[in-house]
Amino acid sequence: MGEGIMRLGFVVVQVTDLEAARKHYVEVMGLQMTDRTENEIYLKGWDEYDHHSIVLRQSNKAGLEKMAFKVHTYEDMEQLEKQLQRYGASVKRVSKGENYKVGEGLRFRLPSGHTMELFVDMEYEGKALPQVNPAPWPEGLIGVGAPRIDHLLITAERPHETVDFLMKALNFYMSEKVVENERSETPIAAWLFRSYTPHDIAIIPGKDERLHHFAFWLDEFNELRKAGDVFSKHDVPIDVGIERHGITRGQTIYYFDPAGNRNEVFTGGYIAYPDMPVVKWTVDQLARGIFYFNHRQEWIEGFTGVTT
Amino acid sequence: MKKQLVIRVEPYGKEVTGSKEETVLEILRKQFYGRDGQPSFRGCWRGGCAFCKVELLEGEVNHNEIYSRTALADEEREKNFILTCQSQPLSDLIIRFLEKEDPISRLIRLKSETIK
Ligand code: FES
Ligand SMILES: [Fe+2]
Repeated sequence: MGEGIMRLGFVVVQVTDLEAARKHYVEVMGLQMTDRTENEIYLKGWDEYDHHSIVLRQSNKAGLEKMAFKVHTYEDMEQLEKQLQRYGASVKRVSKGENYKVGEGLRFRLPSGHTMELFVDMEYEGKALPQVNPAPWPEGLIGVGAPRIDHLLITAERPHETVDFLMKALNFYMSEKVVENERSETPIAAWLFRSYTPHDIAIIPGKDERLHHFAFWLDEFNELRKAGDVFSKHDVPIDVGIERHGITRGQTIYYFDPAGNRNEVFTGGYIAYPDMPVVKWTVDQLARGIFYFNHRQEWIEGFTGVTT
Repeated sequence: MKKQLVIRVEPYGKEVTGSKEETVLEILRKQFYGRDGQPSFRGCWRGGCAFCKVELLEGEVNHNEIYSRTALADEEREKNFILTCQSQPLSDLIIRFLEKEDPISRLIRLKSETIK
């Protein structure tokens, strides 16, 4: 097996009012709209170079339609297809162009019912900065000015099955997991990665097929303060934050988009290597794992129980 | 003065008042959530998350049509469930809060109870 999956490529997110969503993602989050059709809007952050990392699709539902991970090479993807089949997934080939500006890929469902795709090529768009002698950031960023997408968190009725599948069939590594007590191994929830961050995807218990949130990266802690300012100014409902995660050590604000999908702006956390020893959180300390500062039960209840 | 409508919140038996110009959620946020031992409101306000879903036992609301059918399925709407963030009262109301079930908070609660 070569290099395998590289990173989260894009998410397709359902929104109930496309124009309200455009206003939010472009004018509040500061993403760049790279294309649009009547029912879809394609977005990327200023530091991303592929054509899009987010597709907003008009729907009568909120939530995640699918997530797509970018794979290094077509040989890697062939290898992953065999592994997926070996672990019981029914894999469909996706033809070039079936996803706008995206090459051939694979589509399958996780044990949790979420639709996942793999792809190798997406049309190059370029960063908002030149590739030669770039400035550290581009002029004219709007609102939060998020540089890129970072990760997503999904819910599953039997999280350990999906965790197992992601690790065995798709070679995800585990950074942290929630367990019953110090001696137990079965993950009640887990944070998994293929990039060098502590999570590209995380799975917590909840309803199958649901999205808990997807997150944008911000470059430093002070950017969270600015994001909070922007959210309040634009009446974006803030869910939780500024907070610190015990798990991943990241810092965060959670908020909702106009369709009620939860989003996060996230920074910090450590570098994750494939050989890192897995960090365990026992259930009795889990509240602190989720929100290290205000590890209060009521906060956790509204947080983990609300999905789209 | 705007006509004040009365909303009774079951199973708590608490009454709050508001006007047709406000959403039921706005009224509840001013007079119900975060008071008398109720947790503060933790939903999306946007018709996506179902946190605000209640059963409408009596009365009429004006329900916005743009909301997620995952949060409130059409069958539920027919059975008089509503999203309070998307509803304005047209009359006095009686609403009933629903049991929330969330595996993680259940786990945490179980643990903290066994430790106590
Ligand atoms: S608050 Fe989320 S649906 Fe009403
Ligand atoms: Fe997150």
